[in-house]
Amino acid sequence: MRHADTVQFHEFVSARMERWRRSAYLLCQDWHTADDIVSVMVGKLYDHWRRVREADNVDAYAQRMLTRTWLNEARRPWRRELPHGEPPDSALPDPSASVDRESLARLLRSLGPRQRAVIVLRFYLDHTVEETASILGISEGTVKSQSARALATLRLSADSLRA
Amino acid sequence: MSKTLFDEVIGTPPPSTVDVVAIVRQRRRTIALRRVAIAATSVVAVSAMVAAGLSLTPSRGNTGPAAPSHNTVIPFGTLSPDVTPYDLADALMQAVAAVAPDAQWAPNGQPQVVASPTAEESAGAMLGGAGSLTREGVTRRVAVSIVRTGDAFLCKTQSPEEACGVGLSPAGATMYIWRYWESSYPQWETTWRVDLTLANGLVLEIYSYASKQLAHAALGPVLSLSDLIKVVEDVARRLT
Repeated sequence: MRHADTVQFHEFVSARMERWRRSAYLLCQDWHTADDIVSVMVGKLYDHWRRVREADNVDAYAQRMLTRTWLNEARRPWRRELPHGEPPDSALPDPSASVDRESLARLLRSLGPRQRAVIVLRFYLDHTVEETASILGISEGTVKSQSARALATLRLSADSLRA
Repeated sequence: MSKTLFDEVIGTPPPSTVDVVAIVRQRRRTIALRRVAIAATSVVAVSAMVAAGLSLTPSRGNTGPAAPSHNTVIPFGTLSPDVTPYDLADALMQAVAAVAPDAQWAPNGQPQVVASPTAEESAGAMLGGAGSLTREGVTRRVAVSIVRTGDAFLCKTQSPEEACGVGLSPAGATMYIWRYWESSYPQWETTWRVDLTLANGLVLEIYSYASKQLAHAALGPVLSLSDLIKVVEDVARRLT
C-alpha cells in the first residue's frame, strides 16, 4: 500500500473507531472482546483496503466486516458466550423504576448473536432492512422476522423485569 | 429501543486498546514474512510435539477419527457422576494456578461455567469451563471440557503449519495434541488443544487459544504446550 493510501486508511479508521467499538460492545457486551473484534476487523480492512474504498457504501462494507467477525466469533467453540449455571446474585428490580442499564444489558444478552446483530444494526446504527440483510448476508424477510422475534423476546423479558 | 437506551447500555467506554498503527505494522510484516513464517512455524510445531514426547501422526489429508478406542491407555480413574461444571472450572483454575501462579482469570477471578449446553452450541461438550487468562500483560482464552469419546475431534490438517499427534502423557494416559491454523483469519492463530482419555468413555479437552489482541506484541497463547499437558493431567487427577 502506498503512503497516501495508508494515510487515508488511518483517517478512515480513526473517524469511525468509536462507532465501531460501541457497536461491537453492543454485540458482545464485553469491552475486551469488543476491542478484539474491532482489531480483527481493522486488520481485514487493511488487507482489502483498495476494494473497500471502491465500494458504493464504504461504511456498510466496514460494518459488514465487523458484524461478520462477531458472528464468526460467536460460532466458535469456547469463544461463545457461556451461559451461567446459576444466575448471579442481584437485587430485585425496583418496580417503580424503568429498566436500568444492567437490565437493558441483560435484555440484549437474552437474544441470540444473530438476533442481537439485527437489533443493533436496525435500531442503533439505523440501517435499513435492505442494508441489514446485505450486511448479514441474509434475506430481507429473515431480517424482518428476526427483528420481530427479537423485539417480542425483549418485550417479554422487559415485562418480567418490571413484574 | 431507542439510541438513548443503547447508549445507556454502553455507558462510558473505557480507553481503546485497539492499536491501529501496530495492526498495520503487523499486516505489513505478515505479508513480507509469510513465506518464511510458514516454513519456520512448521518446524516449531513439529519440534514442540517431539519435545513433548509424542510420536507425530502423519495427518495431511487424514480425515479419520483421532481417537481409537481399542488400545487406549487409561491411568486415570472413573469420572464421578456427581462432577458438575463448577467442579470442572474449579479444577481448571487450580491446575492453572499450579503451573502459572502469576496468571489471573478475568473478569471475575475464575473461569466461567458451561452447564450441559445444547449440542449445537457446545460442539458436543457435556460440560465445561472457560475464561480469559491474563499473564504478563497478555490475555488469552483457556478452556476445558468433557466430551464423549464419540465426539472426538477429527485429526484433519489443511496446511503444513497444522499438526496433530498422539502419544502418552507423562502419567501414561493416551493424549492427542492439535495445533490449529484458522484459515478464516488472515493472521496466525496458534491454538493448542490437548485431549486426555478418561476411564469411562470420556475425553477431557483443554484448549489454549492465541487471541487476536493485536495490541499485544506477543501473539502466542498464555499457556505453552508443556503447561497445557500438566494442566490436563492435573484436572484429570482432581476429577477422578
